[in-house]
Parts: sequence; C-alpha cells; structure tokens
Amino acid sequence: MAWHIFRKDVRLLWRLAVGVSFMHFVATAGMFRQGHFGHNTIFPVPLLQLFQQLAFLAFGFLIVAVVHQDAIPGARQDWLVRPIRRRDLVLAKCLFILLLVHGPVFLADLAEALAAGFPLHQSLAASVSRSAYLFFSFSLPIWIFASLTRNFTEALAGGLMAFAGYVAFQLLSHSLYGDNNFVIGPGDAAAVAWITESLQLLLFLVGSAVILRLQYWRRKTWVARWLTVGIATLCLLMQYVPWQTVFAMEKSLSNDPAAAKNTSVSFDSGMGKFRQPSSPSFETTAKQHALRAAGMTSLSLPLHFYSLKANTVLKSDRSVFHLLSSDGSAISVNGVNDLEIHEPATGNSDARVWQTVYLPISTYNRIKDAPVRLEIDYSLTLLTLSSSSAISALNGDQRTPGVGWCKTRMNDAESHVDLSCIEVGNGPSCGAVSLEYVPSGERNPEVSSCAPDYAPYFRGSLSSGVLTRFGISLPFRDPAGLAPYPVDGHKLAESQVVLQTYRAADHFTLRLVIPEIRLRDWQAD
Amino acid sequence: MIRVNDLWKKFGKHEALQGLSFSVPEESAFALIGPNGAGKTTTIKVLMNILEASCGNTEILGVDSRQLSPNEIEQIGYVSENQDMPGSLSVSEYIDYLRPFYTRWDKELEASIRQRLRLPPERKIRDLSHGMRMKMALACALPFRPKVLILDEPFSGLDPLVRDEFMEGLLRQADEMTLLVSSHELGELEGVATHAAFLNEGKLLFQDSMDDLKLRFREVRVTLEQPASLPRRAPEEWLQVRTVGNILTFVHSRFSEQDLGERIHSVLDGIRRIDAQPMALRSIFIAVASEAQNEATRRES
Repeated sequence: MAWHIFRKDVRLLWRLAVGVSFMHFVATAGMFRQGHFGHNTIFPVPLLQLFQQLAFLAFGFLIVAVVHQDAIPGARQDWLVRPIRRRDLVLAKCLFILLLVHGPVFLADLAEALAAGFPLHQSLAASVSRSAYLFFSFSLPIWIFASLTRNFTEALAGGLMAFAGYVAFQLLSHSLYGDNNFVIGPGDAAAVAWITESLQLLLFLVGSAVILRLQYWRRKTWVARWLTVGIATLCLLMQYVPWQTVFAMEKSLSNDPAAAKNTSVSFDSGMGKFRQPSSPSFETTAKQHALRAAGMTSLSLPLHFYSLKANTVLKSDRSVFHLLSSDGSAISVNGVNDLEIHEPATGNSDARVWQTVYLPISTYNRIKDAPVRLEIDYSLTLLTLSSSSAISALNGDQRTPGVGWCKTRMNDAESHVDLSCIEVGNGPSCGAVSLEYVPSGERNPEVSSCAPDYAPYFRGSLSSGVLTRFGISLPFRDPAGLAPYPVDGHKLAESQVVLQTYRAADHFTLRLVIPEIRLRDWQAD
Repeated sequence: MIRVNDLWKKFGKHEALQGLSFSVPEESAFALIGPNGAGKTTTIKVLMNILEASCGNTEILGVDSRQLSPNEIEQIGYVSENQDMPGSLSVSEYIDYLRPFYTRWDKELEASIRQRLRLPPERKIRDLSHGMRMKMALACALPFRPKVLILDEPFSGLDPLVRDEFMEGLLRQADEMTLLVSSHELGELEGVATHAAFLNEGKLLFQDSMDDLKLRFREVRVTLEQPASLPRRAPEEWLQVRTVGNILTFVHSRFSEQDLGERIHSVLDGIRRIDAQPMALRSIFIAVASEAQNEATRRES
C-alpha cells in the first residue's frame, strides 16, 4: 500500500513539487551557464547560489508538507483510525522524498555533469554520492523534524527554537573551546573534518531510525522530541572530539602508509636568525602591524625536514605548541599552521623552513632571556603527485582525467593568465601551477594552492551543484613594472600552463622537541 | 466486544478519566452519556489507540487497544465530529483512496450509502459543510461492514434533516454490529441504544441496559394534604427533590413498584396521592447529571 499512499501524496502536492523542481532546474541551469569564467550568465553567481539555496528551502517545505499529510502528533487525524500499516506509511514518505525531492536534484546534477561533457559513469557516481549525502544531511533531519510536529506553524516555531538553541550552544561552546587546539572544533575547515561529520551523520542515522520507529509505530511524540534534542546535542558535542583521535582515524585510512616513514624534522640553529627581506611586502608589513596592535610578538624557528620524496607536498594539518619554562610551567603560545613544503622532482629530499610562533609581548619580555623548552606536535600529510598536465596559456581548452575540464584566458588587465577548471565531484584540492615558455623551458615562479579535504566521498553543498569549480591566476606582468617575469606577455603565445595536482598518500605525526632555547635569539625582526 | 478496565487518563494535572470501567456487550448499541468534559471523547480515543492511557487498559474485539493492528482496525468503523480528513481531496477521491485498505469493502453498499446520504462526489472535503462532513465520515465508516462502529458526538451541530439522513444511513447497517455512541443528543439515542453508561468528571456513575434504566427511573409526584416541605433526610436514591405547593416531586433512581409506597410513607406524612411516571432517557440523564453537579458543588464548598 506504500505506492497507494505515495500516489495520494503526489495528487495532493504535485503542484508544489513541480514548482520547486522548476526552481531547482532554473538555478542549476543558471549555474551551468556561468561557464568557466562566470561571464555567460544573465544573473550574478551569488544571486544564482542564493536562488539555489531558496530552491532547497522550498524542498524542505515540500518534505514538511508531505509528512504533515499524515501527521503523527495529534488526535484528530483520520489516518489514525484506518487500517494503514505504519511500515507502508514510512515507505510512502520515503518514496516521495526520494522521487520528488532527490529525483529532481539527481536529474539536474546528472544533466549538468553530462552537459559539461563528463562521462556517464563519472557523472552518475558524483550525482548519486551528492544525492545520498543530501538525503542523510538535509532531507532526513527535516523528515524527522516534521514527524515531531503536527502542522507547519508548529514546525516553524520548533525550527526557530532549534535554531536559537543551536546558536546558543555554538556561542557557549566557542567561548569555552574556541581556541583549543586539542579538539577538532566547531565548523573546523580542517581536511579531516569529514570524519567528525561522518560520525555525526552515523549517529544521526541510528538516532533517526529510533525516532522514526518511535513516532510512526508508537506515536511517542514527547519521548521522540527529547530524544531528538539529545541526539542533536550529542552531534554538536562531537565537534569536540579530540584532534589526535580524529587524526589517528585518518592515519589508519592512509592510501600509502609507508610513504613518509623516513621523514623527520630537527631544529636547525645553523640556519641563523630569520631576516626580513630589505623591502618586505605590503602583506608582511600589515601582518606585523596587526600583531603589535594585538600585543603579540612572533618567533621564527629554523627547522630542517629530512627525507622528503620528490614530487611531493608536505602539509601540516595541525601543529600544537607547548612552551615550558625552566621550572616546568606551561606558557601559552600559538603557532602558525602554515607549514607547506613543495618538494620538486629535482629536489634534494631535504627542506629548510621557518616555523612562526606567536606569544604575548609581556610573556616574551618576561622569559626572553631564560632557557625554555619548546615542543611541537605536528599532524602532517604527505601528498604525492597525482597528475601533471599542460594547457596552452592563451585560450586553452582541455580535459584531463583527475583534473577536469580546464580553460585559460588572459585577464582584462593583461597582467595574469587565468586558469579555470570544472570537475565533476571532488576536484583536486592541492595543486601547483606555473607558466612555462615551451621553446626554452623557462618557468615563472610556481603558484600553489593546497587546502585539502580528505573526504573519500563527494559531499557537495546546497549552493553548488555536482560540479566543482577551481582556478588560479598566474602573473606574467607586474603593472608597477618592478618585478620582471621570465615568461612575460611577449612569450605567452608559445607558453603553456603546467598544472600539477597532488593526492594525500600518508598521514603521520612528528614531534619536535627543542630541549633548550632562548627566545630572544629567534624573535622575528 | 469492548471493555474498559480501570482507565485513567491525565492531561497535565487534570485527570480526565478516573478509574473508568465498563463493558459493551456484543451487538448492543451502547450510549456513552455525560456532560461536556465528562471524558466520553477521551475514552473513545483511548479505545481507538489514538490517545495513550495513563493507567488501566481498554480492549476492543478482544484485543488490547495498544496492540490494535490493521487487521482489527479493518473491522472498526469510527465517526467523530472532530475528524480531520484531507481537505484537498474530493469526496470521491478520498473514498477511492480508502477503499483498497479494506479487504471487505462492499462497493455496492458504498454506492447505496453515498446515494442515500447525497454526498457531492466532486466537492473537496474542505468545502463540505459540517453536516456533510459527518455524513462523509459515516460513508467512509460503513461500506466495509464493520463489526464495531464507534460514533463520537455524531449529531452535534447537525440540523434535524441531516440528523435524520445520518440516522437512517446508520440504522440500515446497524443490525449486525456493535455500536458505541457518545452523544448529548439523547432523543436520537432513545430509539437506538440498548445500553447506556453515564459519565461525569471521568467517573462512571452507572451503566445499565435501557430496559433496566427505564424500569429503575421514575419521575415521582407526591400530593400532600399540607403544603410540602423538603424532607430533612431524603433517601439517596431520590434525585432532584422539589416542592411546589402541596406537591413534592423527585426522580427515583431505584424504583420498585412494591416498595415505593412504603418507602415514601416512611419519609413523608399526610400523603394524599402518589404518581410514578416512566422517564425519557434525556430526563434521566438530566437528573443524574444535575445530581452529580450538585454533589460536586457540595464537595467543593
């Protein structure tokens, strides 16, 4: 009878379902039409993204509406006195959500990916992955929520209360744990955040099964409501899983667990003190001003990393700093988690870098001459080369497996070459790009971007479709005329953009202990 | 067929039902009577497993209400004045929707009921008047020939014509089924009910067959030689004792032809004449309800 109930719901809600699907298709088509450089659209991209989000809001409304057709709480609903099997009712609602909410989303995703020229299997895989993720992270919570309320007014009031509770929890927890490096933290953009997200989803999935069972089979609305609050709180608390636990889980999932087994680090005092360039960049100067304004100073510690493989990127996911005074008391310090070492194909397997550490000026002045102990716990990821490709610097149009469909063009100011790529599903999140003059092999300085996400599945978001867009601008002319580039505008016609992408191979930890150090010796100029 | 065992139901601090117990014999027409807030609807909703009891239990068709499965519900018809049907569907669409859920749905019977009740097939349920909606509910409750039909305040708000149509539709099918009706419209129940239970403030005042009720209750009129005054201690079975001039009236709730004269003479002097008239269900209900109300007022004060 599930199909029979489903047909009744369709008869009642088909107009709304068609309207919402139309909204979604229009938004997806608009997003698709923006092309590589966002110049083909009638509407600005942020407006299209907003429209896409509104379409999802409407999908949420549709889910609430279909659940309320046979509302669970209350004592007046006619279906309660009919011989309707609860299993059929749940199946009917599930079918409606899958076919009339996720059906259009899936079809729009698939159409967008196929229209962008991606193969069917790749388009299907990404569309299915996104639909599944959206079902568990978007539709299921709304279904659960709707099953706890009897009408839209109640759902809206409950939604506002839940939102207020969420904001209060986040504010409170952020004030307690916001700067705590030992936990993963709320809204953390860390590459391993997918693990806590997946754990939250898993917990929610189990909770959802219990809540749906309680509601549809036993109609225990108040018990189900409190259980929902409990599960939601647990999910929120999961944001505070210790970092080391999460990273250990990620480590156990390493693709090539031995890739970084010989990598080590030491404090290299022989490098001497860090010297700022004679004419520091505007950004560096601004940073120094901001630091001083905040009452902080910085140290630059010379470090030496050994046994790095060629064609790899060593990326720090998190660095935790412990500064201990001679009497063993801990001193609060913060480090900069910007360690990113690109080891080229011709590299010598060693790398010397500066690690920045911040501490309050007052603390620095108190202990700057005393010997202190510094310990740094690095959570690192070694990324290995996954693809290397080249595309004409001007008006290039090329498809590369693992990278996607890329195009190049010169920017309007004629100072940069813009590279823009579209990939179906997860695009590469770590790459290095350079401009190369083909006849001589000369290259401009490499531009890299590495903000990895180690999620093994494609999640997507409400405001973006199944396509991932990424790009980078490569300078070839300094408008001020100060910086000359080996590959300049005259050579562009015979130049190519060389793009290297990297994939996480090994996750590991390194501990650096500097038993005795005098801070004064390493304060940045 | 229907059994209510020591049923309690609390809404917050309010005790809507306080240890209610009664049973409905098979193929009887059982009237559940009581003033507003007596707990009639609550009892029915617990019976139908719409509400959960705080304590005690109810059975229907020999099954605990909490365990009612579609197999049992398929044999129970339910009509209530506050029954929310999907307003966006038309009369025909909703009946078409319900039909496949019942294995014993009789299409011919459905057609004849719809014709008799004159339901407009294409009209949306939300556009039906209250009376039409009640008839619609009845049309959805009869075609599967339920063994038990439960009607919760089915006559409230119905004009006499609709009420007649409703009753006619009901009575044609009522022969083989057990009927449980809660209602204020006692006149309508008079000819239908075989049993009645009186509820007040969540408690059962009494339950009896209609025949016994009619035998038990009499409106007694005693003409005295002197102007009447209220007896100092009237027997507890005398309800609504009143005096006007030489006449004292009361409702006798344990009437017995043999004992009546002797009992009255033991309380009153100078009796000239005693008349005892049978009472309509409505009058019995009013007498019992008023007495219960007075009792409650006395307790509160």
